[in-house]
Amino acid sequence: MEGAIHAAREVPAGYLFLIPLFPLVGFALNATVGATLQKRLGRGAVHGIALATVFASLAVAARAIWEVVSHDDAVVLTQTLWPWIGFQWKGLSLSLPFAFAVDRLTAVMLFVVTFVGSLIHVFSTGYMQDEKPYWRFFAFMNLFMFAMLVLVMGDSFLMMFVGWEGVGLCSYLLISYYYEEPDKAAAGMKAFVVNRIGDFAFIAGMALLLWALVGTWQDGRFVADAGSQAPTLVFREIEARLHDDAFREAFLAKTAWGVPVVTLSCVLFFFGACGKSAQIPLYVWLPDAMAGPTPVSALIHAATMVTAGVYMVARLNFLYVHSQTAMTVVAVVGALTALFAATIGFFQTDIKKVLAYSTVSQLGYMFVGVGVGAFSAGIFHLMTHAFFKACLFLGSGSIIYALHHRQDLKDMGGLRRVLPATYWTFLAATVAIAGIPGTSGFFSKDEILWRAFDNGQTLVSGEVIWLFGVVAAMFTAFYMTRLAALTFFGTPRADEHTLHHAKEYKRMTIPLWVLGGLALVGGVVGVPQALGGSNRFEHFLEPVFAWSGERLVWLSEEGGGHGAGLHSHAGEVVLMAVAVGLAVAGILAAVRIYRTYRSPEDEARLYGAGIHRVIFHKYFVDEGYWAGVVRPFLALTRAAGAFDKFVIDGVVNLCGHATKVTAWINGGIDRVFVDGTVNALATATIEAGQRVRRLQTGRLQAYVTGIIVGLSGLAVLVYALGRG
Amino acid sequence: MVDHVLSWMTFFPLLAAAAILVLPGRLQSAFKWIAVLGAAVPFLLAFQVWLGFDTHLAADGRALRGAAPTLDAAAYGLQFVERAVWIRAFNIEYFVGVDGVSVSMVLLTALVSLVAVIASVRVARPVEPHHHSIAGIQVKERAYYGLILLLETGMMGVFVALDFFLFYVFWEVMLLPMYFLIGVWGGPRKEYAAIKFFLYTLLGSVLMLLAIVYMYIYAHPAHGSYLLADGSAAPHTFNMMYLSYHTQFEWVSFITGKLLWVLFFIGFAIKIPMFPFHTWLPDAHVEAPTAISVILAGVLLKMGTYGILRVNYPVFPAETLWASTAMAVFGTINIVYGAFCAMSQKDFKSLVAYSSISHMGFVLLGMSSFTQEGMNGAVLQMFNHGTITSMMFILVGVIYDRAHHRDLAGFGGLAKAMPVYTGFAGLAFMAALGLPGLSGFISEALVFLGAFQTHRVATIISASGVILAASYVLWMVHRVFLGPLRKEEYGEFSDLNWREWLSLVPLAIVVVVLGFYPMPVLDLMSASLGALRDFVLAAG
Repeated sequence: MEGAIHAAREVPAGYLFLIPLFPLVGFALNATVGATLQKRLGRGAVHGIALATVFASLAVAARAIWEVVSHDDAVVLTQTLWPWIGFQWKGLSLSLPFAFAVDRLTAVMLFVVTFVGSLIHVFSTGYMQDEKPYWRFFAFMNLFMFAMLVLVMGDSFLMMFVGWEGVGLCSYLLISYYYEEPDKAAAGMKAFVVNRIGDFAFIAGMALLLWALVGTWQDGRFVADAGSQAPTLVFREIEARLHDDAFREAFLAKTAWGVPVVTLSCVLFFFGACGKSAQIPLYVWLPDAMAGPTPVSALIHAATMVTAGVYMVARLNFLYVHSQTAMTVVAVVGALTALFAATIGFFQTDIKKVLAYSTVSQLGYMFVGVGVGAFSAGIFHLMTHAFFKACLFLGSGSIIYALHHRQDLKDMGGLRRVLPATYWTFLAATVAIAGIPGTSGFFSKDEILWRAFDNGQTLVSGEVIWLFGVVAAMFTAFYMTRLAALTFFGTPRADEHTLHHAKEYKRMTIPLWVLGGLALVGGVVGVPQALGGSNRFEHFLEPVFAWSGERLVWLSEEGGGHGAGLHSHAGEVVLMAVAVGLAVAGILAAVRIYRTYRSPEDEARLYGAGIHRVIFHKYFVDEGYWAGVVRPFLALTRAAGAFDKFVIDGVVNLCGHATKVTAWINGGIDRVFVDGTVNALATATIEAGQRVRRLQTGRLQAYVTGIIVGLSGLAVLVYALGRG
Repeated sequence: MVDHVLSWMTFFPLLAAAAILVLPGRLQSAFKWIAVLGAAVPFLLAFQVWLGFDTHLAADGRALRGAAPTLDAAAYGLQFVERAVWIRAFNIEYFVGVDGVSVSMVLLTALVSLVAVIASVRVARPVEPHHHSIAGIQVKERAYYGLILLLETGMMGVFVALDFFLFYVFWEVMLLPMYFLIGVWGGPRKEYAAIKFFLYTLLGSVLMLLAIVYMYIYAHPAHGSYLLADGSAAPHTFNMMYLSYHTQFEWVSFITGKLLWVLFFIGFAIKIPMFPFHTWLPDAHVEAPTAISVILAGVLLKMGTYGILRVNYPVFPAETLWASTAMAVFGTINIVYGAFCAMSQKDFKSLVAYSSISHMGFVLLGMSSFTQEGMNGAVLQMFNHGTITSMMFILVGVIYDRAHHRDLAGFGGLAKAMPVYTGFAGLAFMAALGLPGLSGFISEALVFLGAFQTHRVATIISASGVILAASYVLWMVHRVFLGPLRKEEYGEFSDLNWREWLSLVPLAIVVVVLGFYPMPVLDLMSASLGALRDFVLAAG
């Protein structure tokens, strides 16, 4: 089969740099003169810049996407801006350009980022209108767009990492937007540090991969592997090398500490993804990240940044398919996270916290998808999730804004009449995330579940992963229905005054309608064959994953494409029906229970105090990390500080004192035995000492003069000698 | 184009210092401007060096090994060379020049010195005890500016000297003004800090001197004979190039190449400073005035790692390979231990000082790898650390000038009061924690990528430095800038004044530009470092 799949054709596209550049310019303007503009010309000038740049970026992205789509064969649009890293010396060393690449996978991400990003920018002009540092918000939002675009367009690990950490920075800056409240500032810090733990793994994976691609250190000497090429970190080049049989065999045979390099690096990269995409064990920052303004939660912590890990695994498909272990790790962690986070969603009382755990859970789904080898299914869910979760978050933003920044469910209820647009769109997104047939979430989620069931790569049986997935789907339907019921139905619990003044702004409702609509119908691009569709989404991405696809096993395709039992089109429909049945059951249960308002106390009584307590406190994971990781770490830093001060510096001072004592003894001997002989010298020294003391207190410059005159003389001498 | 450009860069500050010393006291207000001029001229000349530097030239060490010493500077990869016999009796020459290893340090010295002089400038007299006095150097300006210019001469000289004796002279010349600058203009424990700095460095330079003298006496040319600048033959030499490439050593009694390597290494390691010789640094920084901290961290620390690359690597290549793992281990200790200590500091400046220890560990780790990525990353890290840490010390100085304390627990909410200051601080501290897009990232990433190929475990442990750096930096930002204003009076703090702007902006530009386009600096060094790497590896 080698040779049947050619590396994608590269098409230079000189305009790609504009896509990230526009938002960067927006950031630069608002960060430098934004405060002045806001004062002189009002908020319109600030968001005028921000929106103009984001929409300009969207327009250029649209052109790039169009160019990718309009080519029948798989093309990669590329643009190399300048040499970024390189060494002027012969030999195998790294050489990396600062370059962008847009293939079909990136095109999907570009669409999600610029389109959803633009809508959220529009929404923000309403939501943030009362904030004083309005310019700061939009500056950072633009910076985020820049970083996110670099992340998805970067053509090498290092470029991706620039975006990867850039979005992390913006996440930090925007979570800490209300920095005067220490809790919110701390949430930003937590997000950054936890992400850094993932980044550590990312860097280690990158170093490991580079090492495996170049040579070895043997017997104290570095030897380049026979026939090896200069190392590269460019995705396309690495994949192209793996297409070569001999290279691939050598590469796959490499081990580090007894583990195949490909497995180890893929697991490390995934650990990096766990940080950014909030998976077990690094998910703890995301719920706290809700401290940021709600549009930030929608854009960064739901639609785009947190999906970066999924994108990365999909981007590295050509590596992952070579390691069943790594794929299993991805799929299992994803499945566990999907279920685990869904349960925490049950009893949260803060509307944004429910959505945050829901995001963690849905990201788990995406990892199940890419983990079992269904890369396009994972990306499909990434896209539909961006629609419905952004819609849910913006909807919650609309509610929170109307309720004067109260976000506890106890203050809500009965809002469907007060906020009709929010209500309808929220409902649309809820049915989508619950997986009601026909909605976008249904198609993408079922594609993942089916592929998980059908996959032949994970070391854990596909049925188990599937089971985790459907149970999580049922839970999702349950907690989302609970959330909708507690916010929009029942009797209003907010005070009259608030309800009276609550209103919806057009700039907030338009994005809601667009996203709500897409949440409902956005799935049509991916209707599976089992339901008579043609899954155009999967076909669109096929060229990207074609080469890896050959290394994947689908049980339904075994034996000439006629799977047996559940591993067939009919089986797919059966499994779908089971999933839908469970989801509906979840919805009905929630409708029954939450017909009336249930306070946390009611819920504790209803479900059992013990269970409620554990889940309400999120399984005490944060507390566990605090006691088991953070405090020991802080203790260790204090120990290091004390060790440095008292032991290391203590030894230094001891040496100093010992010298002094020796000198004193010496001096004594000197006085007693050699006194007379050096009298004259001693007197001179004392006099000199007094003079020096005088210099030190008042006339230091005289001393300096001495040094400088001496040195100048020296310089003149040297010059003269140089002449001669 | 200026002839003798390196000599001008080295000695122009000295001329300015002399001018300041001879001027009458009533012109006192002009001293600082003369000092600015004294530092600005080398800065401008640095552009000539930068633009005129041939980035492809490098020494082919293996070919030189088999050849006789020559007067052809280009063969050694040297540029802008000036060479003359200085003290004939001891074959000492005035021999200066730059290659890829030193040229970036010369540029860094010119930049940081200018910034430091600007950062010293007195803006207003201390009329009120609190917020309206923006300090700078307020007392004994004549001596201060004289010494700081003398210091620049010493630093520049160390980086351009290619004769061991000359190198040693500059090394000592730099020591003395530093001692006074800390000891006279420093904080409450200035005497202790100054003497500690002085004695510690002196200890190092004594070890170095012993090794230099031994080399002078017991090194013989492997082929041909050593040549002085005028072409006459010499039996002994201080010439660094000759000792690197054309020398056979005679080992007397217990003395071996490894011993000399260790003597030089300790001498340089103190300067880096490498664990466990690092405790002078936090004390010196905490007591030193802002501008002196800038120079200390921005330039002086690099002399240690520069010295290792200039002396240990080419003169003792086999011994360097022998010590590779030890260097990597100490680099790792510096990174991790320095970060842990930084985290526990209560004094703002002390935290930044320990972060320097951590960041210099990357240099050691990178150069111990003998890979292109690692060694270029190391020298790039020297340059980047020089600019980033200079920014950080200026920023600490900014707040000290206003609050008159540096207690981390005593700040809070400054972002509200001083937004521009916070913006610069954000940039500098993000660069310090290695944020991609800023210069520090490129060098750290190169170090990791390169060092992993040689020292896998050490590199993995070192990479945890990215987590630790994020922890201590963000926690510091949290305590100083975020949260509610801790004291009412902080709300009245003025934002950056023109002097602070002027000193921060050039550094900020360098930090941002090199993050996206590091090639201008990488190009300067990569040929020479590649050659050096090959030369060292060939000795294995």
